Amino acid sequence: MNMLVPSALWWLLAAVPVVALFFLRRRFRVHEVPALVFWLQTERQARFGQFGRRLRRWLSLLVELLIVLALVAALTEPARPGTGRELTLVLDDSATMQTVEAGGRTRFALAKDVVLDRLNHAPSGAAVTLVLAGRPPKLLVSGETRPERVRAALLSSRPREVNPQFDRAIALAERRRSTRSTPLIVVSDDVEDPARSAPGVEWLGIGQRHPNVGIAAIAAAEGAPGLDIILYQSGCTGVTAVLTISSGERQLAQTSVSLQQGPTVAHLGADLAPGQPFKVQLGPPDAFTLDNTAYGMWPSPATARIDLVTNGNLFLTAALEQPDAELRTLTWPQWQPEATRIAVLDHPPPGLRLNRHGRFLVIGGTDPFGLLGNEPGREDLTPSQWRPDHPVLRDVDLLQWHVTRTAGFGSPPAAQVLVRAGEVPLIFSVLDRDDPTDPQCGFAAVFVNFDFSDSDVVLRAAFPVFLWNTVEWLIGRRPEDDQIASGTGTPLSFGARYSRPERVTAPSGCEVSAYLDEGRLTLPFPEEAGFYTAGASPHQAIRAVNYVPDGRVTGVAEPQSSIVAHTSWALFDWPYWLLLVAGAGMLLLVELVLFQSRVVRLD
Amino acid sequence: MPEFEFGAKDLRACQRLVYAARIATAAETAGGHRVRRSGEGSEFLDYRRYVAGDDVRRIDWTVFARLRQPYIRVVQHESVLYVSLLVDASRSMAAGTPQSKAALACRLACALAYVALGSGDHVTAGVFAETLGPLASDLRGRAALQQVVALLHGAPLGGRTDLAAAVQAFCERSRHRGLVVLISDFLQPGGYQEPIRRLLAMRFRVLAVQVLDAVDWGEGLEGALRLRDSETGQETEIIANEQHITEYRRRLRAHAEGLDAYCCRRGQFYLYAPTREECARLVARGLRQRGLLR
Repeated sequence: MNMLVPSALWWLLAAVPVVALFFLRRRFRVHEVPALVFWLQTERQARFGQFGRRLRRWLSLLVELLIVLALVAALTEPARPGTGRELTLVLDDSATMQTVEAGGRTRFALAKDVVLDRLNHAPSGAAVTLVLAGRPPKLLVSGETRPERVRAALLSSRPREVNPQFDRAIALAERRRSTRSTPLIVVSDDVEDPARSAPGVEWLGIGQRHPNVGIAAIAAAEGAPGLDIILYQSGCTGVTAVLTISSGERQLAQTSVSLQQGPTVAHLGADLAPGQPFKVQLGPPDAFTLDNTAYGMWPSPATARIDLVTNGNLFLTAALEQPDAELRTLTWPQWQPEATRIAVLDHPPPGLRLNRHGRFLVIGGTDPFGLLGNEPGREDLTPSQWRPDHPVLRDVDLLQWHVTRTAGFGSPPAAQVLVRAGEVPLIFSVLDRDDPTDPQCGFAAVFVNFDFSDSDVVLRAAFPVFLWNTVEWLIGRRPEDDQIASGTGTPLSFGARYSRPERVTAPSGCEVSAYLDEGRLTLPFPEEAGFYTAGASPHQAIRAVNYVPDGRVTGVAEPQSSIVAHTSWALFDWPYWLLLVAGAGMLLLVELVLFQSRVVRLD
Repeated sequence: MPEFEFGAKDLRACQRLVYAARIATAAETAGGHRVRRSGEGSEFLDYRRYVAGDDVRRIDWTVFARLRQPYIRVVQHESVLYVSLLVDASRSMAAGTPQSKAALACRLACALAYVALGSGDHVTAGVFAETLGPLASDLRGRAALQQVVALLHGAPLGGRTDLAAAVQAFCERSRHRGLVVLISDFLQPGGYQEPIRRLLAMRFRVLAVQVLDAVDWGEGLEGALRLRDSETGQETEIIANEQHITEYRRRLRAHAEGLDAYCCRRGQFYLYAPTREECARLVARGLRQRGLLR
């Protein structure tokens, strides 16, 4: 009998506190009484004699120690010595295993043949454990003795578009083996790293060395419409590649690029509409075709439609006039509220009453919504506290601001104060949206508790920054919306506006899970290239991802061939924490049953 | 026996007490107790009609000659009382606060002896545990109280209680019938019925004084305890909670009430003496209320 985890014998020390607790709990306080006659007049006392009581007492300790021993035995994972009837294999199913070798077969298909060959030569009834080494590793079969099941599981597997994770895969396989002295077999196309040469592990190389050209990244071109494509070449020189960009069935542009060893930036001119998905194709195809195609989506920032209602504040007009903004400058009699436009209300007059629906920037004057309390105006204030992480105050320097007189707004309880001077709120926001994922629904407003004419804010460089931060926050636009969404690796991240985890549809049509990470939906393990779709509502976006490996030349070493067969069986296949919880529960049960029933009960 | 104090307060409480006359019916010789009895005596009380069975020698012939009817003279008969005090000196009597059960037992014995000696009765005192110890017999006169005190002081405290053996030894050594005062906690395993029955069979009157302390009622017991019998050393383990203590007290109360009922049914006397009570109060009130002293 061998122990797979002999270090777990340290858990035997757990018997010490068990014994100590046993004696501590049973250390009865001696109390002398004149007579025991009435204490002894119980049925239980009469039934169990002194010997019985003593036996029950020590039985309690005995059972508790047996539980500890059983627990330690389970943790040490005892196993019989190998009998030559076990086969443990780790199969690399990472993306590079899709490389086409001479003869037109992929490396993964060749690796399957190697595994099947080992299976055919294994002794009859051998227990087979097969682990896939992609990220994350997967246990394909464990201790399976029926060859047909192993073959079916192997044939149903396919390479995943992920990097390999050999250390975890080998650790997973090690836990299924009976002894550490026998090697396990790793079948992979990536066996060159000497750091991976661990004792007890034998590597079987698959495939040949090939040169590779792939798309590493995509970015929006600066200065000219189109894309900058970053290509990476390894293992060859002087290759001329053809780059083609298409959207749907329509080809948009094509160019030829002469590549050098390492990275090369190629410009691909194309006039893409906002939100338009595209596909970049790199030709001619090489042995590893996965990184020859990239998918992306042109950014689609929301257009700012602004109504500036003012009595002639030129600073505001100048700051809001931007090329990508649709600005209307109106006087108060001319203005009619429209829910689809952002209203910048400069000094609303008294008596103005507005519904709480839409998006507003209210600068001084009076409260047109009846939302704010009235506070006395304060004079000579400078900001003392603010929220630099709020989007409205991003890149805004408030240190030089000076307010001569406030408008007397009191922030309601639901408001979020962004800037305050002592206890006086200078800038605060109120957000009351019906749909948290839709910035255009409900009511959103930013209140500036002073007129710009009563401050020197308009003279500061941060003034237009603050205004546009506020407009973009009211629109719901984010800085990342201006960037090209193109996946170039894992994990895939959606720059969409979601407030909770969503189901995302993979290119194959399967639904995959996503989680919310800092306001972005993130796919932990996208395993397919192509477009991923999140939801179907107008407020949910489609983004694309393409797996591009790191451009590494895939290579092999001289094949090694030796199969060490052994068999193993584990007493328990539970996680450690479950074993510990079970042991503690049994100890508690013994305490309750044996200890509590041992005492004298007068009733 | 532990140090105990039988002081002026106790003496004052016992100063004017005497044993009730009906106790003296067991007396044999002439003494200070006046019993209403027909026949010879020192003090005339009354006449009554002669009934069959009366001694014809007791007929007052002078009255007969005058009334032509036989009448018997009824006189005050004076008799003496023998009081025997048997005090439990086993180890279980050592417990108790503010005074030990043994100390209270000694004080009660002294008080009862003082009452008896003060009225000219005979007193016999002794202690018992596993068996009956030496007796101070036939003490008379208040000066003999010192002998009782000395006997109680000199007796060792320890051993197991064997009331039956002590009573049997007392019956064998006693020459006079009278009142036997058993002062004990009566918590011995053998029970109290058989010793009292033996005394009654020997025509003794019995006063059972049960001395108990708060510890006997389970006071202060809480948690995991190993209870050790102070006399036998026998042990048992309990988890003392309110339910257990209540049940234990119910059993002990039933035991004390059983002893009381046993004595009352047989025309005997019982006194419950908790250690928190003063000796003088127990004697002056408890025994007077029960008709033993007046």
